[in-house]
Amino acid sequence: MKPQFTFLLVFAALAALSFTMGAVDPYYLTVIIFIGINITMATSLNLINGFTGQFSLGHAGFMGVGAYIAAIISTYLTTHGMSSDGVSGILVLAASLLGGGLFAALTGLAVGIPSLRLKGDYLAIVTLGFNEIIRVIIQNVDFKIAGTHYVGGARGFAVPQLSTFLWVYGIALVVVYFVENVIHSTYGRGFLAVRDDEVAAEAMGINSTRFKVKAFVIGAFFAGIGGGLFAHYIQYITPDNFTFLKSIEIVVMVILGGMGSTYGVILAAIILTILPEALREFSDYRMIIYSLLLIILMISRPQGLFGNASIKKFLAKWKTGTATN
Amino acid sequence: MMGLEINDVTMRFGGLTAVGNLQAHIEPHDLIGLIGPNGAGKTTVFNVITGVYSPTVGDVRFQGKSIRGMKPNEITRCGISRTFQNIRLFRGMTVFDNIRVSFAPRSKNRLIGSLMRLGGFYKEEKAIAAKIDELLDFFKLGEMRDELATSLPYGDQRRLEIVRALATQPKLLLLDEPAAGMNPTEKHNLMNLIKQIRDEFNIAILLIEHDMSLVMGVCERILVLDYGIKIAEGTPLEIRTDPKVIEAYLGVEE
Repeated sequence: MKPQFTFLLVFAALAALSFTMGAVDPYYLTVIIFIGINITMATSLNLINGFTGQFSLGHAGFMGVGAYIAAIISTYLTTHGMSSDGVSGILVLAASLLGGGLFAALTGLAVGIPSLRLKGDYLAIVTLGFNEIIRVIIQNVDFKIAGTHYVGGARGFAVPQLSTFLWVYGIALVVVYFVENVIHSTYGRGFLAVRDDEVAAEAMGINSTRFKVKAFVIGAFFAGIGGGLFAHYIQYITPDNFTFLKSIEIVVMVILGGMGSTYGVILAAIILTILPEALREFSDYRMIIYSLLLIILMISRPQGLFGNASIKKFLAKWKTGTATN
Repeated sequence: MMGLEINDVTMRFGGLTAVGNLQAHIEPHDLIGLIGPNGAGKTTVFNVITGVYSPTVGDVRFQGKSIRGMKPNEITRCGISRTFQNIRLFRGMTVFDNIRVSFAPRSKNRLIGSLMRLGGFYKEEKAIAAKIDELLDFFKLGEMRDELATSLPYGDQRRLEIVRALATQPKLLLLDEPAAGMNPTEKHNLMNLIKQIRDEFNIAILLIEHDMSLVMGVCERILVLDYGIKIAEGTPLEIRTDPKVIEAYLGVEE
């Protein structure tokens, strides 16, 4: 089946599913929405960390940039005559997400060009530092336009609720579709080549710097959109939503899912969003159990849940397995 | 001047002169050997040609154009391709994909094309796959097409590296110790293969090799380096009897 049809089919299924969401308990709905946002975050980070092999620890920074820019746009639009309901609300959210994504991508370009000369641990430290810079900047920005507070520094920023199930999962679908299509094309093999051996990739005529910056900018763009969706769902954002702990959470999803396996990363995003919620009843021991589970998973599946395998390979193996049985 | 010209190139690392005042040229259909004792600067010459290092002094010209200061990926796109002394295949990829990488920088369908996947995308992917399969069949690697590159036997990995370099459609191919670690049969086959590549693909080849029987058997001209200085250049017969070369390899009798 051509990927376009798969895309439309899944989108139609999501649209049908979105009508049932009104009946879902608000708490569960929140968990479902966070899963969708985390799929977007983890899949986009997987393009940088998993497929291109550049260890970034600053994804929450881009998420924060996207969240705040999107929130500024939507607040401005809704206080200047645009309604947050119906078609107008869709337009407001679309404009905010696009603005947030583009601004995050620009930030990605500005951070990526100088720092992608660094490798491994050094790049991780620089991106971590960038994440903290973003957080501190947000903490100290506060301005008023026509009586309305924007950004709000450490106090936080109230945002209209606009994100819906279909928005969140529609965007997640677009990100997955984008990453999978690009990675499996001849052009996209360039990202994997840079990861596997940069010197050999250069010898093949691949401009490794350009591929790295591209992965970084695209990853930042989708992270910005993910941030925008997040802001317009929880309706109140503070700089503490985007600390390096959030970055590490996303990195863990990528590593646990198997660096460079989109479906593994989606699975990890689902598991790691549900897990802390499911462990709530153990209150004090929650994070201990969570960490222990991570350690056990990493010891038993060091290549990640999926490793390098894809769904296709898995099905092929399963088919031949049942045929010989 | 269509080939490669190395004009008075000196490469220094701090106080160490790895290559000194090297003068050489390679014509379009040449098959040339570059030999010398360990540490003579042979791989440094490759690294200077392919842009890994920019020469301290001197100029490298290819097809009449200076390639000094160009990045390795730009030089590859100019038509100079190489293999590595220690095999550098893409570990996570299949044999097919290892070669496919070389089409990535030339692919017309970039991010948007790969995303939209319209008719032109499939047409181009098909054409690329056909070219790769043709290359694989020529080198008798067709059966291993979908194996992981690193799961291949050692000799096949070396050959795959050559195929991958050829897929960039070079006019000059640099082979860095292609026979290293091969057994005598494999070496013999490789000798024939190198000649065959030169004739079938109509390119120039410069190769570094320690195995003298291979170099003498296949190369038409040989350059000898010792401590970064060219000490001899000539046909295999001339090199074999050159007293300077014998001295460099075996030393002088007191």
